[in-house]
Amino acid sequence: MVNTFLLVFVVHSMQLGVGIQGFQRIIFLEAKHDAWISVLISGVATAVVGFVMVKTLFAYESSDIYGIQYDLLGKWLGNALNVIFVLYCLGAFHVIVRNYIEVIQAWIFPEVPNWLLALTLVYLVYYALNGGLRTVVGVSFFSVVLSLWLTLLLAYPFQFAKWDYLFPMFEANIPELLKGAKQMTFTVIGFEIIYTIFPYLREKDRVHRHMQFGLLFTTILYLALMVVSLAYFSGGQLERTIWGTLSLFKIVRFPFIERFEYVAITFWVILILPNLMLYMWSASRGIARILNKKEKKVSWLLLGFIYLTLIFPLNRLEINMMNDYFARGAFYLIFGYPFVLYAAVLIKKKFFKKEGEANAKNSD
Amino acid sequence: MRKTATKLMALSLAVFLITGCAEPKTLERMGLITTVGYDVTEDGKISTTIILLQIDPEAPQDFVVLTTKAATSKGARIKTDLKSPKKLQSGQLRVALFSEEVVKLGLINLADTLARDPSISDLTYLAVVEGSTKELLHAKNAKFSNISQLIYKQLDQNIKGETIPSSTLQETMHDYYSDGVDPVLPIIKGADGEIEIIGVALIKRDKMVGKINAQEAFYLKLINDRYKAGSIELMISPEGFKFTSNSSGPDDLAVVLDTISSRSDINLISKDNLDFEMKIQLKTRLLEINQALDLKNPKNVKMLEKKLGEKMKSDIEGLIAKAQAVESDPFGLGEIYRKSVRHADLTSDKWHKMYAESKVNVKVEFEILRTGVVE
Repeated sequence: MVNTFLLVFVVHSMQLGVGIQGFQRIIFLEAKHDAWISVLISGVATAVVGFVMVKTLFAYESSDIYGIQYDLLGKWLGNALNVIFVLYCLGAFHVIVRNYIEVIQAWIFPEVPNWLLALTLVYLVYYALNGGLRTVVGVSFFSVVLSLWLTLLLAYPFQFAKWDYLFPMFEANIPELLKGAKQMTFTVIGFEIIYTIFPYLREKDRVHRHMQFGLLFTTILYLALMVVSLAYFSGGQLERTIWGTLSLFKIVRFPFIERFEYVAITFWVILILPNLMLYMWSASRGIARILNKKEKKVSWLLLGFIYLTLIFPLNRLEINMMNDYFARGAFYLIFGYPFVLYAAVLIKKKFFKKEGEANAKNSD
Repeated sequence: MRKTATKLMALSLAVFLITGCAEPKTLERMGLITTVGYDVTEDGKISTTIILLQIDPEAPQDFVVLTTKAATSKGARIKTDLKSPKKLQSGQLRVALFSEEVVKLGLINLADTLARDPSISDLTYLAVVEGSTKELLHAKNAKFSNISQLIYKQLDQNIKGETIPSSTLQETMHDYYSDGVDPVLPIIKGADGEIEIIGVALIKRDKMVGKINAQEAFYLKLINDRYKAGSIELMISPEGFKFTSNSSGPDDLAVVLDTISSRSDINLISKDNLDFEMKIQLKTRLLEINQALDLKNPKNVKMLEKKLGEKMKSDIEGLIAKAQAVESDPFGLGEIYRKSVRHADLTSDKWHKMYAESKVNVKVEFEILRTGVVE
């Protein structure tokens, strides 16, 4: 069992990952200098979806998405949906590692091979998963606390900021803003972890509040980053900058570290570790529940499998395409499906009172 | 027992795998490029001159200068590696110099190469060299031991000391990729073993189209920067002043001022006529005056303020006219236009045409706060 207060850190650290390294550009391409409004819209969207997710979970006493889907749709269909969710988690894991490795290779070590970087990350995840969920949640807590100071460094690009670039406000029309917000998907997802971690939270009545705190914290951070980026880069420059956030760090210079972005990029591993661990934990828990096997053994197998997929070489274009497909899938899964699920749960509750709830009960 | 085994395995894995996988970079075997200069040769190729820092106590001097010709700047880098005993690294690059001919042909390809390389800092200074960068960097002189340090420190000092506009790689790329503003680069010149910053290059998109002198650069800074511009010497006619002693000094009255605070505010008055209003507020202290003027008399100070304000106004108008004549917009008037007009759909070409026709109404509010500790 985990203290519910830690949910703030879990949600925030799950949202923060590789997307934040370069989200400015893709939003800017849609919404131009009003991109910050898109960020705000996506923040509101996460709050709404977060609310629906928690409501869905509250309909059952203490179950996760696997139990709920099983209960709603029966063994075959329910498990099929469970497998889709597991695949989504594995996909997210893959995409995060891919993007991080690409950043490492583009910025610091062009020669270091994929297999080595992937192995180090996979091994770290294996190590943490052996410690169980409490270790993983501990990692997310420290990931957030230890990286808070990075936000202070925004003061450096702040000096070069030209606020004129934010004006005229509201020049983009509503479809453009919404398209921009949709492009945020890849950056804001991660809070669906509530679907799997819910049974492990101790004080259920405080879950929703802490979930919203976590989401709000992320939205504020993204908004600040976007506003500073818009003022720091000029339009054409932002369109060409693949990793806007990392480029912001290029301006940071201390007497003892002249090139700070190297520190920031290597430090990023602390930011993505909770993502990897929690996604892998969710996936192995799903498989374990479907097949009734031991979670740890499943996670070893899954890690081995995902490692094999990571060795497969991809170039920048292919990675971009993969990100695109993943983001599109994630958009429907995270911003569409929860509503359907919630509706299904409501209908089920109304017509089949209390039936089969025992099924969904957590076995732990 | 099993736990210890796992931990040991983790440690040994880390030690064996991580060391030696990235290319090692031993400082003694690296040639750190501190300055790079680009020239064009007659056959249209790029001649690249680099200065390497020597980390060798027994070397006769602590830097090496190498020049190579190639079609691209990175091509030159590869060729330079053939000439160098050490592997070239550009992480310590401080200054990139471009000869006037290079900038007249277009700067962006070279600047883009610098920006694309993650090992090059965004705070690298860019500057234009009058004449050839090769000659400047190869110049031998007893006054300074290391020319790359000299150029860097001189640019750094003057940019931080608010004498000339800042021209880091980030700012140049920023302005180039912005439709409504053109980048500016300082011009340096080597003469008789000294290096002098002689002014600022006016650039249209990425091509140099003219230059302004150091005094005009001061005005440019006054218009662009919010905080502070440096010191300036102004000449005004002495008519109308009452001097304490009828000295037969120089004809013009020269006044040296130091800026305490300045503010410039540019607004678009009419978007159809492209009328801009430029308000400049300047608070200064008087440092020096070359004739005996009674500064106790408030009338004199008022008069001085008025005359200096007028002088500045006409100078600024002259500067704007000069820049408009070559269609270079270092003031960022285009950004003001873009900001004030909804759906302006400004492109660089469109703006440069409009810019030449725009009118700027300059207003200077000038104030002398102090005249030093004596009167």
